[in-house]
Amino acid sequence: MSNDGWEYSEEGDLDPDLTDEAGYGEWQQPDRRWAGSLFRIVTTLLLIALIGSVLVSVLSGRRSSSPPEQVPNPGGRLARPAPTAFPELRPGQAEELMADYNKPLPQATPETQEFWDGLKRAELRIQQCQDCQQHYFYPRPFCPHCHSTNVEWVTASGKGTLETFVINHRAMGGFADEVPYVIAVVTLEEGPRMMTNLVNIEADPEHVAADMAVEIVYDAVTDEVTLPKFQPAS
Amino acid sequence: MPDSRSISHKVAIVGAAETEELGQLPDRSMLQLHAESALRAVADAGLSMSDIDGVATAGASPAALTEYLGIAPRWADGTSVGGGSFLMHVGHAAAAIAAGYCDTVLITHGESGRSRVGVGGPARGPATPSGQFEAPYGVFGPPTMFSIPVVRHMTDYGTTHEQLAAVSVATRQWASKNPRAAMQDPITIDDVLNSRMICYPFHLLNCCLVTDGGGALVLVSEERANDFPKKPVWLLGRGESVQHTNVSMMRDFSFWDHGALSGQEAFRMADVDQSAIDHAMFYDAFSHTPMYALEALGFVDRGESGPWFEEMRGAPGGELPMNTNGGGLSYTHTGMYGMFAIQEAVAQLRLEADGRQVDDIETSVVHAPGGMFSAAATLILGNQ
Repeated sequence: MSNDGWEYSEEGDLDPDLTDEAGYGEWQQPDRRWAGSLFRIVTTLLLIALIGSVLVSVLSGRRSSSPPEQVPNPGGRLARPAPTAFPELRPGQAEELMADYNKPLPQATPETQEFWDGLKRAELRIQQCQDCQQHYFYPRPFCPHCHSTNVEWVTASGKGTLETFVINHRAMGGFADEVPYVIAVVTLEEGPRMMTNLVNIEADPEHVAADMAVEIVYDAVTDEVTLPKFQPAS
Repeated sequence: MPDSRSISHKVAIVGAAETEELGQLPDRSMLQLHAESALRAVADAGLSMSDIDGVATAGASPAALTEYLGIAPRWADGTSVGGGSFLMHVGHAAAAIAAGYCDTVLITHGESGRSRVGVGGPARGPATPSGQFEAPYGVFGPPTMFSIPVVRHMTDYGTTHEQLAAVSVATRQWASKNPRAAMQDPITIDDVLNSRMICYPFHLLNCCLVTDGGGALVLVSEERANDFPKKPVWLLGRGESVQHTNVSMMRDFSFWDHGALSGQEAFRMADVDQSAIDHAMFYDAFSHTPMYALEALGFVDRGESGPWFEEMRGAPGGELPMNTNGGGLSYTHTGMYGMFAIQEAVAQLRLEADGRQVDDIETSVVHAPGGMFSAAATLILGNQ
C-alpha cells in the first residue's frame, strides 16, 4: 500500500453516516452537509436552466417543430416542468450525455493495457507463466507465483465460479441508483480470481450463492472502457 | 543468527494516553489529535517532549508530525498499512531501541475520521491496481471491501448471521462497563439482525463506529523501564505480515493466513502459547474480524470461531475477555483503530481499567489487520 505520508488510510473512507444511524443522533451533525447543500443548489440551477430553455424553445418555436404538448401556460410561470418537457438536444449533446458515465473508470498502465484492450474486443486476456504454467491476474510482466519473466498473454474462457460476494445496499457516488448490487470475486476456470459485479441476477442472497457457475459479460461502459462483468452461467 | 527472542521483555511501554475526548471533535485537526495524544502520553511517562529521540506514526508522515511537535528525533518509522500500523510500530521501535538507534520512542495516532478536519483525500488513483481492478465495481470504503471474504467463511464453515451478530452483542456488553464508550446500551442478536442492511451480510450493528480521536505510546529499554511513574508494560512478542492491498487478492478468504503468520512469530518470540493469554484485543472493524483473528492466532481451529462467539466466550464472564473497552464496534473507531486496542491492553495490564478490569491479568494479546485484511500485526504484552 502506497504511503507518501499525506494520504489518508484506506480505512479512512468510512462513512460517518453509519455512525449517525448507530445512535449518534444526539450529536451535532458533522459539518460536511455542504455537499448536500451544493447538490441542492446545483440541482436548482439546472432546473432553472431547464425551465428557461423550455420557455425559450416554446416561445421562439425555433428549436422544435412540434413543441411538447405538456408545456402548460407558455406565457406564464411554470410551477414545475412536466416530465417529458425536455428541450431537444443540440447536435452531439446526446453523445456527450452518454459519455457522462459517473462511476470510477480504470486507467491502464503499460503493464495492464492488453487486458483492457482485450475486453474491448470481447476477449478476457490474462497471463500464464511459461515456466510454472500457472495463470495469474492482475497483469504484470512476471509471474507472482515463481517470479519468472517468461510469461505470455492468453485468452481465458470467461467461465468461472462465484468465490465470494457482498451485496451493497448503501447508495453512494455513481452507484447510487444501482443499489442493491452484487460486488463479487470470481475464480476463473484457469485459476486466478478477480473482482467484478454479478449482473443479470436479482441482488438477493436468496438468488446469489457462493460457488455458483458464472460467465463473463462484456460491459462497454464508455467508448474507451469495457468492464468484465459476470452473470449466471447459461 | 539473530533471534527475535533476544529482545523479548527488553522494551516496555512506560507512557500511554488517548485524547481526553473521543467521538466528534470538529475543533481539532488530524495533526492536532496526534499532538494532543503525544503530549498526554509523554506527560503520562513523566517526560518532556525534548526527551523523545524516536518517532513512529501513520496517517501523518513522521516529517509532518515532528514539524508540528517541534522535535528532531534521530529515528523514525512511517509504516502506514492501515489500522494495525501502530502494532507494527511497537515491534519496530523495540528493535530500534535494542539496536541503540534511539532511547525513547513516541508512537502517535490521531484521526479526524468523523469530522474530517485537516485530512488528505483518498489515495486510490485510477491507474493504481485498486483503481483499475476494484473501484470500477462499486466498492465504497470498508463496508464493501473488508466484508468481501466473509461469505466464503459462512459457506465453508456454516458460520451464521447469528454468530456474527454475537460478536457485536458481546462487545457491547463490555462497552456498557466503560463510561468512555460511545455506545453503552445493551443490544441483542435480534437488534443486530434487524438493523438496516449496509452491505450483505453486514447490518449496521455489524459495522464499527466512525469517530475522531487519537492515542500515543512511549517506549524505553529495560534498563530504564522501572524509572517511570507507571508500572511498565513489557513487549513479550511481536509479529507482522503484509500480503495485498486489494481484498480481491487475499489468498484465502476463509482463513487469514498472514494473520496467522504474525501470530506465530509473536508467540514464538514471547515463548508462550495461547493458554498463557489472559486478555485479547482483536481489532473489530466489523463482526467478522475478531472471528478471523481467533482462528488465525490458533485459539480455535479453522471454522470454529462462530460457535465460540455464539457461546459468548469473549464476553464478560467468558474464558478470554476480548475487546474489553467496547472495541471498534462500540467504544471508538477513528479509522485506524489499532492504537486504541493497544491502549486498552496497557490499561488492563496496568490494572487501570476501572469497572471492566480483568482479574489476575498478566498477559494480553493485541491483533490487528491493516487495510482490508491487507496486513496483520500481533503484539503480546505482559506486566510481570
